This record gives sequence, C-alpha cells and structure tokens, in this order.
Amino acid sequence: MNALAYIITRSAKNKLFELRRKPALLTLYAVLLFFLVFFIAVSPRTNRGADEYTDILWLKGIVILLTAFASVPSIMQGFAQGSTLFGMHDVNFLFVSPVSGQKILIYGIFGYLKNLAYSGIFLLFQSASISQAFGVGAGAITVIYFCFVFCAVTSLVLGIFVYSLTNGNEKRKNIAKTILLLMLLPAAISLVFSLNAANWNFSAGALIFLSSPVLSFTPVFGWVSAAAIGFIQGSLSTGFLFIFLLVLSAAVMLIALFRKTPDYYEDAMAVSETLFERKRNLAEGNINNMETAASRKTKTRVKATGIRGAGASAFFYKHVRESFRANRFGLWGLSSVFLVVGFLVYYLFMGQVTGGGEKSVQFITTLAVMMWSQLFLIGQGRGIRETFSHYIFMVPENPFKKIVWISLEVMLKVIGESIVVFALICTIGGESYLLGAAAAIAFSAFSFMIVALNFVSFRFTGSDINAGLLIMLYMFGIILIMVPGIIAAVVAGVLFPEFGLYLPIAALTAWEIAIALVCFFLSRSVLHNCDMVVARQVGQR
Amino acid sequence: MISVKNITKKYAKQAACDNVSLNVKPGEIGVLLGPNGAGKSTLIKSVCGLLKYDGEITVNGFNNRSIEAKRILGYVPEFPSLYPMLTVWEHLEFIARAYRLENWENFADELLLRFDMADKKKKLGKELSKGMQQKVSVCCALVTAPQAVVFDEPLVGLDPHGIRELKTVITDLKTEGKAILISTHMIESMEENWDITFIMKNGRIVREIRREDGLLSKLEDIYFSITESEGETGESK
Repeated sequence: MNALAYIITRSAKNKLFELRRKPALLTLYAVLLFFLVFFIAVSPRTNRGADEYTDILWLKGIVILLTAFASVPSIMQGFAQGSTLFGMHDVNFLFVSPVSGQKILIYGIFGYLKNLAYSGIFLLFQSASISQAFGVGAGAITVIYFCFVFCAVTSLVLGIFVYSLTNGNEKRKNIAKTILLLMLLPAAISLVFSLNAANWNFSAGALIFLSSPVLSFTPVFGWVSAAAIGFIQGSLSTGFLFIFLLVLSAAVMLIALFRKTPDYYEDAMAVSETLFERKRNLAEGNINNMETAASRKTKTRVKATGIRGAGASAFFYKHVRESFRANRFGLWGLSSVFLVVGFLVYYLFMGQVTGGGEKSVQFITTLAVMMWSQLFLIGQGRGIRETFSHYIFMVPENPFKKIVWISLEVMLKVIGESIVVFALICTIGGESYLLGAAAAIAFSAFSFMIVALNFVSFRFTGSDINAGLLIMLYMFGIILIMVPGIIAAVVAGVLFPEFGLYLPIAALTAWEIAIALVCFFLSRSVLHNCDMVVARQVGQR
Repeated sequence: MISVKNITKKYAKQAACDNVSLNVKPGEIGVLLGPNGAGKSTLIKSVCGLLKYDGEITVNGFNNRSIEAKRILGYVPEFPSLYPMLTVWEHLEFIARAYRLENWENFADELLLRFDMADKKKKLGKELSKGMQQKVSVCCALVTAPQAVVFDEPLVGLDPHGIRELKTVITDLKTEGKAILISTHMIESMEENWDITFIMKNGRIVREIRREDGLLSKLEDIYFSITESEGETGESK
C-alpha cells in the first residue's frame, strides 16, 4: 500500500480503537452527536414567520467575518513563517523517505482539511439560531460549513504560495502585500460609497455594501460568501460559479507551487520544529517559555530592572515587571484595545438593533456579553499560568496570600478595561456616568468571581478549568451559579422600578462578590492540597 | 533531614510510587536510580510538595507542605522553567524577595560566577539556551541557602563546564552538612560522591545501598544487575 495512504488509514483506525479504551471520550462524542442532531432537528420549529426574518444579506456579512477569522491567520503566516501543515513526525519520517514532495504536500493539506472539518463542527450547532434569525433550514448551515472549509483550505494554499514566492525577500513581501491589498481595495471603496449613499447610517450602508457585486467578486472572502448565499437562496448557478472561482484559484496556485518549488522541506521543517518546541515546553510544564523561535529573536529592550515586594507580593511585582517589559502599556496591551473597541462596537450595534429606543436593553445586553466573554479571556492571565510552574508551590508563604497576589494583576487589568469601556459607552451613548461606574463594578466583580472559581476548580478537580472539554461543564456551572443573582436582579428591577438599572446591577454585584469570597475561602489551601498540573501529567505518562 | 515514610502515589488505579520509604541525613548525598517509569520523578515531586500522596514526608522534622519546610528546601526541576521576560538577575531577585532573604546579593553573584553566568545577568530568560536556563534554575534553588536540596536530573543539558561545576557544588553542599537527594540516569557521574543509593523499579525501592557497606562492584553494575533481573519486585527497605 502507498505509504501516505497507509498513514492516513492506520491513524484513523487507531483513533477509533483508542475510543474503546477511553469510554469518557466516547460518551462525549455521543453527547455532541446527540446535541448536533437535536439542534438540526429543532431548527425548522424555530421559524418565526416569514415577515419577521432578518435580511439574508446580514448572513452574508456573518459568513465573511467567519471565513476571515479562519483564513487571515493562514495568509499572514505566508508572510511570516510558512505553513504549519506538518508535525515533527512528518519531518522525521516522511521528509527523509523516497516519497515525492508533491504527494507529501497534498498529504499535509489533507491533514489540515481533516482538522478544519473537526473544528468547524461548532458551526453546525448554530442551525437553530440561524433558522430563527434568517428563516433558513439546517441545509443552510451545512452550506456555510462547507464554504468555511473550502475558504480556509484555499487561504492555506494562498499562504503557502505567498511564502514560497516571498520567503526571505522583504521587497517581494511588500509587493505581495500590495497585490493582496489591491485585491481588497475595490471592496473598501465600495464600502465607503455604500455608507455615503446611506448618509453614514451603519445598518443601511452595510446592507448596500453586502448586496454589492463588487464585494461578491472580491477574491476568497467575497467569492465564498456569495457562493454560500447563492446556494442558500437556491441559485445553484451563482453558488457553483463562485465555488468554481475558489477551486480554480487554489488549483492554479498548487500547480504553480509544484512547478516552482517542489522542495519546501527546509522551511516546513523550521516551522515544525518551532511547533514541536512549543508542544514540548507545554508538556514539560515550561508554560512560561512558550514563545516560538521567531518571537525569541524579537529584541526586547531591557530598560528599568528590578522587582519589588516581599513574600507573596513578589509575584505581583514580578507580573508588573513582566507586563511592562512585554509591552509599554504594561497590563493593558493590544488585547485590551481590541477588547474595548469590540465592546464599544457591540454597544453601537445593539443600538442599531434596538433602533435606539431601548437604551436599558442596549446597555444591559452589552454588559452581559462582556461578562460572557470573560469566561474565555480571564484564564489567559499570568496568575493561572503560575500554577503550571513550581515556584508558586515552593515559596514559603501562606497559600491563600499567594493566590490573592497572583490574581491581582488580572484584576487590575479588568478594572482598567471596564473603566475605559463604560466611560466611552457613557460618553458616546449618553448614559449616566454613575450607571457606567455601577456596571464597571459589576463587570469587575464578575471577573473576580471567575478568577476565584478557577482556583476552586483547581482545588477540587486538579485541573485548570479553561483546559479542554472541561470548559463546557464550566460554562454550564457558571450559568447555574449566576441564576440566583440574575433572579435577584430581576426581582429588584420589578419591585423597585424607580431605581432603574441601579438596583438590579447592585443585586447582581452583591451576588458575584459573595460567590467570589466563598470561592476564595474554599480555595485558600489550594497550593498545599493539589497536584501541580504538569507534574501530574508528566507522572501519568 | 529528608524523610519519606510509606509514600504511595497513584494515578487512577496505577501506583507510580508504592509504599516507598527513604531517609537522607544531613551531610549525605542520596542518589535515586531507576529505569524510565520507575517512579523517581513522582517521588521527587512528592518530596517537594508538588503532588498529593498518601504517607508522610518531612524535611528537618517539618511536614514538607509547611512553610518551615519550604523555607529550607531547594528544588532543581528536571526541566528548567524560567520566566521569559525576566533577566537572570531578576530571577534571583524574585526568589530572594519571595523568600524574604536579606543580604543575598553577594552570594547570588558568587553563584553566577561559579556557573559562568556573571556576564549574563541582564539576559532575559527567553534569550538563554536550555543549558543556561538549567544553570539559572540551579542558582535559583541555591540562592536561598537551603538545608536540603532535591535535584531531578540536574546534569541533563549542561555543558562539560556546567557539569563539573555542579558536581563541585553538590560536593560543597554535602561538606556544609546539607542533605541532598538526586534523581539521575547518569550513574557514573555520581559514582564518586554518593553516600546512599536507592534503586527504584515499578514504583518501589528494590535496593538501598550505603557506601560504608563496602561495595565490591561499581554502582552501575549493581544497578544493571537489579533492574535487568526479571524476578525482583522488591520491598521498600
């Protein structure tokens, strides 16, 4: 049998056999499958009636954003470090074997396609909400899923193509960037004209832009969104036309790749080694040293030096030093800017959705979305990362003091971000600054609660709650924990409407703080009563 | 000084350490030997309080999870874990502050000099090679002047100069009356200065050998005779 076919089929078989030894994983797959079928089955029942649906053009916008999310990193990688198609096992076994480079490249793309198909499954769970919003069935979400996969693969090929043309040559990189930007230029001009035509009304302008053929003929994102909407609306000719453009461009680039640079081993090997190094660092618990070889080469300027504090507080001052060294704004880096801008845009978008009439809905929905997003963002702080290293366990200080001090950095970050977000919302949206302050406190208290819950999880399950599949249980748990606080907020709002949003927010905040304090109390001896995560993982191997 | 009594550590149903006991006295070098998967690293991490276990571990009479024990215990992990955005000197400063040390600077300078790192004080953690990271890791463990030091594969990744210097440091620590427990695969590197050797297999200590017992064979030969024999399951002595 062909070596590559053997690897693919044997790996698939072993993966299946592995399930026999991992009943928990098998159960999880069964549960996921059940929910998938359930969402697809209920999607036709969530239709609201033909006159209530949101314009399908908005779905086109969602498809563009979705595919951009999946594709832009692949394309940008083409300018930075080449493809990430291969693992170290491929480098060590395949690259030295007498198998043609072209076949290995196809094998790499196939592997990427497989991973992409798995990771895109989350889209299929959206069938009910898509059906409810746009009145389209489960078939529509399946179309979007396949378009998403097609687009991501084309972008990957584009990334490899760009890399093979520009590798190591700044001049060529600039030319390639210019060409790519020129491809997007007509769409950008069309957007400006559309907004202008709608007197700079966001939703009206966006609809004009989304219906524009200029956008549909914009390479990759435009093609894929036009194909998706074509298929969903039953226009097969439109759908196939744009899919044809997508496949044709990928095929042309692949042929050019095979003809020009069949030997891409050295570059692929460099990237694979970097990825392997990251994985090894993670496995060895060297989570603080996860930088890639590329980022290690980036010069960090060391100006101010030294660490303050004594005992457990040294951890906090260390975090401050690390943060300011990593970026000049210290705790608040580029991620904070994205966060603030993102929430502000969401607030303005909700203004459009509510037609500017329901100010309180717009405000509370934004606060709720901010809180929800914290579930995914808060675990990225340096505090939780400390628990992957031995220092936090070995420093001779009270364990409760240690977890408080390692959490302080992320708390200050959240407080700073919430102040800026709500100050801007109050200024732009004309809300009361007092209400903004109340919301900032509620948001910070929620974040405080999440940090505390992470430590409780660590105490009782021995795992970082943000790890892997546990996050699904975690989200369900958070919803349950928040229910009494939300009920208290609703009751306060109904019984005392004269206080507006103040009393509900205060009730919610009080609940969050109470839960946070209980959680911190429960996790006070966490560092003395649980396994260091990585030490356990290494031991289990 | 380092006392391990009837330690059992299980992952799911499998015991990585099965009723293990050992004792390393002040001024002694205890060497932990064993094939891969024998349970050496699990035992080392349990001693350092990084893993939960059943049994009792004390350092100078203090429970190993107590603040008193942590203050006098140093640990050099198998894989150096440095902070990429801290300089070499800041690593030492951080440890010194976290342990509330006073007048530590001269000793820290001395350590860096011994490991050829004096000119790397301002280098960031991310700029160091793995060997250099290991040296900083050793300096961080020793800057607190611990009474007991636990090394997990300390020689891996070090250059010849680093290996020689670390072996000298270990001998010096012994002379100063510190208790040292070392897990290693590099048997010959410990041949000269061990005092007590524990050979682990399948989560148990199958042989405990004291130098004063007057060995006729080399440690390496004893190790292979034990670990390569099929029948020996052993009891913790």
